[in-house]
Amino acid sequence: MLLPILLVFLAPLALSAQTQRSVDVFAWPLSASKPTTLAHITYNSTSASVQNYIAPHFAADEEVVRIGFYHPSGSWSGVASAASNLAANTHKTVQLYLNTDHDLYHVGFKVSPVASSSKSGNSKDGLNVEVVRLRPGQMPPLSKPVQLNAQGKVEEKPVEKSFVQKYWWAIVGVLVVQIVVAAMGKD
Amino acid sequence: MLARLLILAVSSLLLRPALAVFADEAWNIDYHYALLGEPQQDTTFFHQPYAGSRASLVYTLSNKGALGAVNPRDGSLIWRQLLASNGSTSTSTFLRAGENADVLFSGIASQAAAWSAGDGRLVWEVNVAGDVKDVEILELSDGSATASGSKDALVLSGSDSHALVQRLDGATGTVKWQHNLESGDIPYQVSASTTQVFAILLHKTMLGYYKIKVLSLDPVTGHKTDEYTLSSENELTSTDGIIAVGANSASPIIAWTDATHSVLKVNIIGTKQIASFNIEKSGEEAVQQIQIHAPHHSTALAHFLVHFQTATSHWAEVFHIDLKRNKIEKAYDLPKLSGKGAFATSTSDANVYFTRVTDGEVIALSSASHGVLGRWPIAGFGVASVPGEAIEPIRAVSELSIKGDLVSAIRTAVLLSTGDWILLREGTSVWHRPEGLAGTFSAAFSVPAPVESFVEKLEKEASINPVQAYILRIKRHIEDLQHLPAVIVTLPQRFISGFLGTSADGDIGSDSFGFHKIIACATEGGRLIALDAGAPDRILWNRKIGNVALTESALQSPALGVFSLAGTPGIGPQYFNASSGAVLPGLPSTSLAKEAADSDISQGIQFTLENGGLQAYDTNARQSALWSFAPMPNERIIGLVSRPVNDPVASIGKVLGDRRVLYKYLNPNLALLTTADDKAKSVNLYLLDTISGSIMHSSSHQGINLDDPISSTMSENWFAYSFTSDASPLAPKGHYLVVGEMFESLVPNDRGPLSATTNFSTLDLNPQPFTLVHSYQIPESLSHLTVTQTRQGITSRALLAVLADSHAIISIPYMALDPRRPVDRDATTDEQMEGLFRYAPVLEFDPKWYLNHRREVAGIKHVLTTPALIESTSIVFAYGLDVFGTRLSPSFSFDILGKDFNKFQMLATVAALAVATVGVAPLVMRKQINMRWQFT
Repeated sequence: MLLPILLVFLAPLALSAQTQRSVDVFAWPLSASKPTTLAHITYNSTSASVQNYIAPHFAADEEVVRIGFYHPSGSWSGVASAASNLAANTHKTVQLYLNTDHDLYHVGFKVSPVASSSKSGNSKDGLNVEVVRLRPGQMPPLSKPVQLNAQGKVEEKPVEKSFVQKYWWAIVGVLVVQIVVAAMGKD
Repeated sequence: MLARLLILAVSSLLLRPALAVFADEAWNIDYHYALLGEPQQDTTFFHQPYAGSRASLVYTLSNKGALGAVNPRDGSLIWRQLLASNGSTSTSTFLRAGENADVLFSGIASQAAAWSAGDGRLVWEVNVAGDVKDVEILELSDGSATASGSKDALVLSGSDSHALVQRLDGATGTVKWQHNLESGDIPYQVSASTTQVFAILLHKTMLGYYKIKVLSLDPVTGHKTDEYTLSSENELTSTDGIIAVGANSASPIIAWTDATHSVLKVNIIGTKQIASFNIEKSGEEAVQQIQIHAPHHSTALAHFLVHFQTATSHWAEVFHIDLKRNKIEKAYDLPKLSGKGAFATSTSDANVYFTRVTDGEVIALSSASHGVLGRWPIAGFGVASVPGEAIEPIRAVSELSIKGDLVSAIRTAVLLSTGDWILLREGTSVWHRPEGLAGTFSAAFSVPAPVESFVEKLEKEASINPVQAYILRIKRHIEDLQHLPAVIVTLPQRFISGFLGTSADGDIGSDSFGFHKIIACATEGGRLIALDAGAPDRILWNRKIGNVALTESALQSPALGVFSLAGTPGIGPQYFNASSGAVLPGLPSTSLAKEAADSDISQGIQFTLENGGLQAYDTNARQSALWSFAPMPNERIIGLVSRPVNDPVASIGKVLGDRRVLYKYLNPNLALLTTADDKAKSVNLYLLDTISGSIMHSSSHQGINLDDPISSTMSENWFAYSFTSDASPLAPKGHYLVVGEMFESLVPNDRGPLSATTNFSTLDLNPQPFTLVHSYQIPESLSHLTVTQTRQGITSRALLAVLADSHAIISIPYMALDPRRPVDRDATTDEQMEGLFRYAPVLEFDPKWYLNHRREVAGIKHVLTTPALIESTSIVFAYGLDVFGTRLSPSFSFDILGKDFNKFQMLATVAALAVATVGVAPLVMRKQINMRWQFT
């Protein structure tokens, strides 16, 4: 009996929290016939973390490696990067590009020229991950239209009370306490 | 301090927002062909704009859906209305004018409308369900005729299953009656005789043949009076077999033929007899086309002409209708002539005359007898073509005036196989309109071939050893000497024009400023037409082209002096000499070598739109995609632009007011991809690096009206796009222009992660640019965007935008769009020195930005730019329906003297000063001597 009631209360809470999703990111050397898993990443609309990172191995003469993922529809999206960028001593970052519905639509891959100290939490064995949201495009900052109420008049804001008007009771209270304390001290 | 002031002064001079057009340049440097498109046979005629007018105009509703009136005296456009918004017509079009009426009736798509013939104003318009299948004029004047005397219109409309005949009041467009045709037959045509209205329907039988069904209606009430079916099922397998359904004539007819053109069947509408005529076989050749020419007036004699056309010859037969006996009789034959011919019908009172136009002469005949009334040889059509091509008339309309038994004047407007529309007065060509250019789907610039060969020779001299080069040069000079006599002859003329300062525009041969670019236009009519951008009044050449892919990028200039035209899939490109239009067997060997050398330099990466996404391949190893970008399933790609191939940048940084530098992000491999989501009404923009496939910048706009144009462009380190937004809580409804500029770093004098590198690959190191974006609300939607190009990129750039709604092209100086314009504050002195001024959310289009000034440039779909030889100037060419071109100097013409410079005045001043100096010198000398010797 208690459990369903609890669920009714908890369900909206769970929905409001970010749904956690996951994606496998692959590394695909240009000469290879099929990709190998690079990392398993979980993400929500604001943050992501690497769950599992497998350092890729490929031939020494490999020049270009593709890094990408498979859409739910099965089509591949990916970017190209130099194979040397995937070496162990570089500071690698996978970027997850999320659209306005928080769906993953593309990935990016970048390396920092100098290995900076790894950021908290989302790094695993030299692979960082970050989320790049599709931002709403800029619109010109125009003046807001005048809001009219049902009577067709401009809604006037109530005049704000001054500090003394708002907090007179607190001041009086402090004064009373002080007077009382002073009076008690005299006694 | 003084230096600073000086810089401020100079920069304010240089960076002032550009004036686009100067008064003395307007109408001189720009050119414009106000076109209609190719006139159609049934929708073109001579007509008096109002009853009693002495001069008539040529009216046409073209294949591009443009309705217009042309003055037959000089070919100028009197008025024009664009009825098809997108410039193409999918359905048939109709244009009718009643005898002595000042109103024209048009029918196109689902709109029937009436237009004032004199000025082209809309009288009324009616939108019908389905498509307009026919428009006809009810000539009879019953008691219900309106006071103004305008005749009523009959409109047949509907889809295949449900059709409707309506009689619309000629003055107001209100429906007088309507008759529903619910039989499920295909509505085909409506026709009116003096007493009855006939609706012609096609009934498809089980076997796939067509039967012609005729309904006669009472013109006053619209009630059906009779209905019968003609037994045509043995011949008619498709609607193409129906040649003509006579419109308004004393006795309208319907004629059809079988698929092999062996028999011609004619029926007088209203009767059930079918007259059958065997079509004579013309040797081995099959008749390809049969046309019927009949008068369009109910008062004219019931005669008609049948025109037969084979591949190499044409002839005609004239028939008379006996109204009393309802019989059709052949009157006479017109002899067979080789080539193509065009026939036109004209009436004078009740008499009917036929005009025959062949490639050599104009012949006028009376419909009553075979005697030739007049015969005028055509000296020449006066249009450009290429040597060896025969120019043939395609269709004609004619107007003649008769004095006694003789033709006193005849004017014939002829559409030629070159796409030109010309007017022949008797046999001489009076004017021509290059209507074929209205169907341009691809265009390209090239330099003339002589210039190209000179450049090639110089390059060759530079590349070989000095001795050989010297021999080559001597040879070249000896060759040049041969031209000396010609040069000497033109010397006085050149001297005079040079002295008077009128030589700014020479001919193609002496093109010192590079204004004489050759522009080739590939048209839907299967022609390749070349114009000279410096002397646009004449067409250089005009040639036939085979089957080509109708794509915007079909025409290119792969090498100097050469055009290439992409063929249909499976056929390689064709090459043409830019100066003569001659077909080249292939690319010239020198340019091939150059191309090969170019491809050695860079390992290319090619990206294409495939399977709804972008795929990039290494050109050397095409086995699998290098990178791929797939938009989400609900998105579709609506635009892809990249930086122009030839996009020189003069400076890698922007110099700030305090002499520090902001470094531009100059990646040559950038593409801006636009996708639309129809359900969510959103537009997403992705700026991609085309080597690695990385996203450099992205943004999303919600609440977009996807019916309005969304255009984008890129140049240098900036991009621009435009769209129309619906009203939303975030933004009001309106048109927007967004400009983004990319920098390596936003810190002056800092190149960010690229500081140490001279060369870099985005595969190795892929720093994201810092993008500054400003958006502006603009007064109109922009249907196409492009950027000016100059030779070295020193001149500031201007954004060229096509305003489809106001028929204009504007050039917006980049200064006005700069994303670094300060927001919510005035510019500081440093910023003012850069030319920045305070950001305003609304960008009004300055009237000075309009390149077309007072011209009305309609239907523009694409704008091309190319640099001239001088740095200040970019050559602009716009096509679509109209053709418009101009020269643009976004930073003023700083390297060329303007037209207002008077060389004669300057020389006269110098001469006067010299004379004055010489004349005054002795006086001064004497005065000086006197000063020394006289002590008074």
